[in-house]
Amino acid sequence: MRVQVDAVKCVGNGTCYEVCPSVFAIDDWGYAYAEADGQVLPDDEPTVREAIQACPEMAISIVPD
Amino acid sequence: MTGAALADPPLVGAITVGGERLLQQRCDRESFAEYRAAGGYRNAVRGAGVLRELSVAGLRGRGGAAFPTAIKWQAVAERPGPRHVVVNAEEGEPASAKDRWLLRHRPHIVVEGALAAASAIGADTIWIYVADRPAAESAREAAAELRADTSLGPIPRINVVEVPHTYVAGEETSVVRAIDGGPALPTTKPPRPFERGAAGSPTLVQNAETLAHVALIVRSGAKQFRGAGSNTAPGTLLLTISGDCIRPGLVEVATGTRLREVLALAGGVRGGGAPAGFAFGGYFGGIAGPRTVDLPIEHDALRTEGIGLGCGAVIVLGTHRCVVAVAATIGKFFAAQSAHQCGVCVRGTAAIQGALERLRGGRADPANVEQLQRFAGLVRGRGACALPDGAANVVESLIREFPGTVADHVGRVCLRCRLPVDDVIPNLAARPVTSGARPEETRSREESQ
Amino acid sequence: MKLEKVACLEELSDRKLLRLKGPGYDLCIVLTDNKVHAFANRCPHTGARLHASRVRHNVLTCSHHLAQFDLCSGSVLTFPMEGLDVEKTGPLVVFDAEVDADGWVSVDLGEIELYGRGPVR
Repeated sequence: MRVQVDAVKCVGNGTCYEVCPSVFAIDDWGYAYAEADGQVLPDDEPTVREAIQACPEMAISIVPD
Repeated sequence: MTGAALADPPLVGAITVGGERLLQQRCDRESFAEYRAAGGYRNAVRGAGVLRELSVAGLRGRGGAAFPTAIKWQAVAERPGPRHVVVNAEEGEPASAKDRWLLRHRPHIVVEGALAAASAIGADTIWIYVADRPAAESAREAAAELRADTSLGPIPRINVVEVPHTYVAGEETSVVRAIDGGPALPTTKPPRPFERGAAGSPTLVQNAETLAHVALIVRSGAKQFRGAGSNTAPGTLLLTISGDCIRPGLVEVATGTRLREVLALAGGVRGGGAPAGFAFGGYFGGIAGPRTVDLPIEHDALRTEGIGLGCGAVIVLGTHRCVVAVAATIGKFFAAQSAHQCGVCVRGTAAIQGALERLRGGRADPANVEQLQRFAGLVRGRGACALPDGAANVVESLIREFPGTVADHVGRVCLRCRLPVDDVIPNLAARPVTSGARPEETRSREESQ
Repeated sequence: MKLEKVACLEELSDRKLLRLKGPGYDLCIVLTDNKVHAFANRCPHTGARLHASRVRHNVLTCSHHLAQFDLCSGSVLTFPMEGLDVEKTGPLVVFDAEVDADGWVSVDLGEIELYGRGPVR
């Protein structure tokens, strides 16, 4: 699975980082990005899905196959 | 800002081998009759033949990314129609003027290339997307001239779209958004225009110079095209050379020509001496050191040196220029041209601008240089368009190419940095119109046929 | 790991990708120019899936950024049109595919770990 953070939608709530710090990171200005180009290890998938649900801006999406 | 006339660049010459070229020594506009008499609109190859010829020619895009055109065209052609072709003549790079020159002076060579593209991929609509008013008028006149001549048979409808001249307006997703009636601002990818573009249809967005090359390829063949330039990126390319040179303007050279020869055509460095460096690709490609004069002007060769050729705009920096001042001015430009759509772009480019200005003012400590490098890494690849990458390129090229100069600026005031560099680093008068503006205010559109 | 008899030749129509997904592997096989090729269903550029890609002769064009790979060696023929460090795109992971006398295709996956983050940047 691969995810991406839509930089247009992200307002820097940081929810994704709180829920799933192994995949999401926060830059110096508080905006989120997915590490390792958004590659998600199978073990992280449940928490990533939780982070997607938790984002108030709905800025995180799964890159379609 | 819609409708402003931008400066018309003079021609300074060409280094090519034989055959037809894009540049002609002319100040007027080539009319339909003139173009036709010189062999235009007689394309021997049409339809799928154009794609085959293009593939053999190995033409690569001249808008900045240098992607092989045949592959992009194929990707549009194999998706279900209707399809669109967009001539992208909105050069957001302030130092570039080639596409504007082509549309103003030789509109038909661009239009013929667009017709060949439409025929190759099966498109029924052509959009000419431009910011410069005289270029838009020339394109409209070309469309009217074509319509008046019935000998060519049915041709796709040609529309001209005018947008304000901003840095992000030339991004291909901005192009699609503006054609669909929105502001000329980038959108998140995917979808890319070749998947879903204007009116939701697969759309080929191609730079104006690239399409002009296509016109020559369908007329004279791929072999003739490959007769000039390097093997991996054949043909000629247009360069806009400006800054501290005696004769700034447009040059057409075979790819692989050394920058030294181009500089000689432009009359050499103003004020004599060795150049302090070059700003490449307009502002996007970063700043390269004086060693660049001996490198071949070719996308791949420069890329391996960490330099982006971009759309072929080269700014010569004279001996007296300080590259830190130049970098700070370009950093300021990127911060001002951010479309304010992505938080990371707004904050990131502002942070880079601030750090570069600290360096220029002699207020930076060693930690600030490291911070600058981290900022560049953080903004790269983020945001809806490549503007943050442009800011990152400036920072990274400055630190990589001029480590000594950067170190000298730490905690020390540089007197040369006090000299303004605005004369060689031009700004744009317009800023991106942020979302929410009504489309009618941001553009005007004229349809023909 | 070796996958035995994953498909038979009759199932494979010319140049149509067949995706094989199972525990620990995700790959595509394709018949082109009378030869069967097998490769990881993962573009080395961004890690995107490849099973919607286009194959002509031995050239695979990724549907996402139009990068092209040679199916025989996996080498990059055309770098992708955009993205981070496009020139650093590594080769496509290709596997040995064998066709036995009865037309059954077997794929040798070797020791390669298909899942995981891998060298994406």
